[in-house]
Amino acid sequence: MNSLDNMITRSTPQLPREASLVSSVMAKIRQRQLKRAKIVNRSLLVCLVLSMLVLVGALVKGSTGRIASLAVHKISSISAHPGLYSEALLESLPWTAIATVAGIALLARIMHRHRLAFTRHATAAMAVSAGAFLITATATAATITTTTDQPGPAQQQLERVVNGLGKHQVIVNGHTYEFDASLSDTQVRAQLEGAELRLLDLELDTARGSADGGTLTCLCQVSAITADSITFESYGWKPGDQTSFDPNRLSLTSKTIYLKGAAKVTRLDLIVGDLVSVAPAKDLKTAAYVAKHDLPFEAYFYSGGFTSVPSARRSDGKCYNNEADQCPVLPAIRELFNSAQFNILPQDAQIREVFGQIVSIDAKNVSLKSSSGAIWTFAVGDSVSAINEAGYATNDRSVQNHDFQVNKGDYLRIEFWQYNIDLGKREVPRDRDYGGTNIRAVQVALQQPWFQGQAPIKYQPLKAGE
Amino acid sequence: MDELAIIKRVTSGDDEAYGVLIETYQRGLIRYCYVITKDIDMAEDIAQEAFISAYEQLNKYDPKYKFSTWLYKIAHNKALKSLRKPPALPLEEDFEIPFEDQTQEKLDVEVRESTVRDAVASLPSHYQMAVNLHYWESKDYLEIAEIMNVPATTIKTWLYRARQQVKENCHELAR
Repeated sequence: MNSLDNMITRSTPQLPREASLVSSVMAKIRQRQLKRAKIVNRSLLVCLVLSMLVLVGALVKGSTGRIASLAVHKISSISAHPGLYSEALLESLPWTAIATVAGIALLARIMHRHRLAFTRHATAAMAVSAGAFLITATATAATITTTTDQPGPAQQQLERVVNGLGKHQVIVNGHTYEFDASLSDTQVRAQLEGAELRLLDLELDTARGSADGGTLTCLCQVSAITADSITFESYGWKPGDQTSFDPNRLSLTSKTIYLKGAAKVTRLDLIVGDLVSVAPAKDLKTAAYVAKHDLPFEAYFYSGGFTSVPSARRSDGKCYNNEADQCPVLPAIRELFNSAQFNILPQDAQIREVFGQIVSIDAKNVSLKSSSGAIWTFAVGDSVSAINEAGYATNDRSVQNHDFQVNKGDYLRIEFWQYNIDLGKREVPRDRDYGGTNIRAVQVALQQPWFQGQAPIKYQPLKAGE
Repeated sequence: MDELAIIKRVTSGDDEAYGVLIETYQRGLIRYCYVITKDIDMAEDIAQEAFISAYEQLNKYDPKYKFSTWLYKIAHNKALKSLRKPPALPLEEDFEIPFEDQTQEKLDVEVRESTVRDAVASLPSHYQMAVNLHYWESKDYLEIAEIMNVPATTIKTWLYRARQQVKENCHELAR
């Protein structure tokens, strides 16, 4: 058996030729690797171009351009706030797209350096290409989703600063407080509260005593803030009328101060465009009290020195507007004065008003739905019956020359003007001396109520006969 | 150099080291493929593809087997696969039988070896493969079983029967 085994072993077949496979195998391996490297490189290049396009798109769509351009157009403001500018710029950059470009570029570099090792296996090369495309697609989707032209907190703050608005400058009691915009809300608040609390009692006293003969501008809009003054533009009584107050006497507090008598001070955050109630001091130049109103307004107050408005009661004791010698009953006024909302008004306020949309109207009553949804019902006809030359409906018979025409859906502002009535007692005389009580209604020509989130539309009173 | 060390060098990027492995195994591998295909061109192509496949899958190589076993297994599969394909058109070649002046003794040895080779060549193909791997490539039963993907006992049986048949064939051929 062994000899057979030996014979078989010795009879190893001779190959027809002897060839070395080393060079051919190595050449073929190298060829395949280069081919795969080419595929991977091309895929990465395509991904890089795509992600660059996404980056450019995100830069155009987002707010980066706007923030960057501030460095050119508002260089003086920006140079004073480099930290805030950097923060806003960083906030506005499309980080997802940037990370994608950087990631693909890094991957391309690694692949290029180790291209042969990476492309040893066909599956590895395909996996790298597919992975790069997947990353690009995912990042594109993420960039599209997250990129928005809505500015972030730092960008908003920066824009307020460079436009001269915002919280970076506050004047309290004659002192100008310059705040670094990078201060936190808590830090600013801490600095303000000390100053404001010290002034609070004094200012409340001043406000309470300021109404005598003063021009209380109820609803105003802050139109300018400078180091020397804060200018409010009247929104109600005299459209476009501007009043500047000496900031030496200005403090800005919340309307909650009067609500319960407690000294609740919120931080000052008045900016141009804010709607405020202003109660000036006796000298008519200094503002003792400014209450910022959050939209919507419910009811507010102002007075305008209407000393010439005649009494509604004739000298013979009969009402001007009632031939039956029966003065109109004004339940709505009493209701208003007795309402909880009335309590937010300072005791010395002389005129209240309600702004709303007429939801129902008949021969005797008109109901307004105010911005808060409260329904205010007023007697029409006798009490609100005419429009005077200035565009006010009044029960003053002497100016009762025009019909007061309103329709359901109209926007109406009704003012209540108290004259010689001690509102401090929260009482309205019922059966005596209506002479000093007047209702003046003004039809407001608005297409939309300004309080429904729209930019405030300036009040324009109707001309007589309109 | 240790085979495992060479493989390690290749997997860590030293492609040139792979040439050593090719050098070592190419002759046996081509012969094995030639036994299966009976075509030297095809055998070389299959051996080349086997080397490339082994290189590309070197990270999957399990060192508990011999590298040669793993390589022959790849070649074995490729060879069987190529046999299933329709044969390529043969090139017309003129083969010249080399004439050599040989002594009688040498001629007797060659006649005997040729007789055995013919006897092996007349075996069924799986017997031939087993004989090739065992006698000419010095593989043991377990390695052959791994390459051909059959149990070792089967290999043992195949080799026994192959020997018997070679013996009988040699007698017949001798007559």
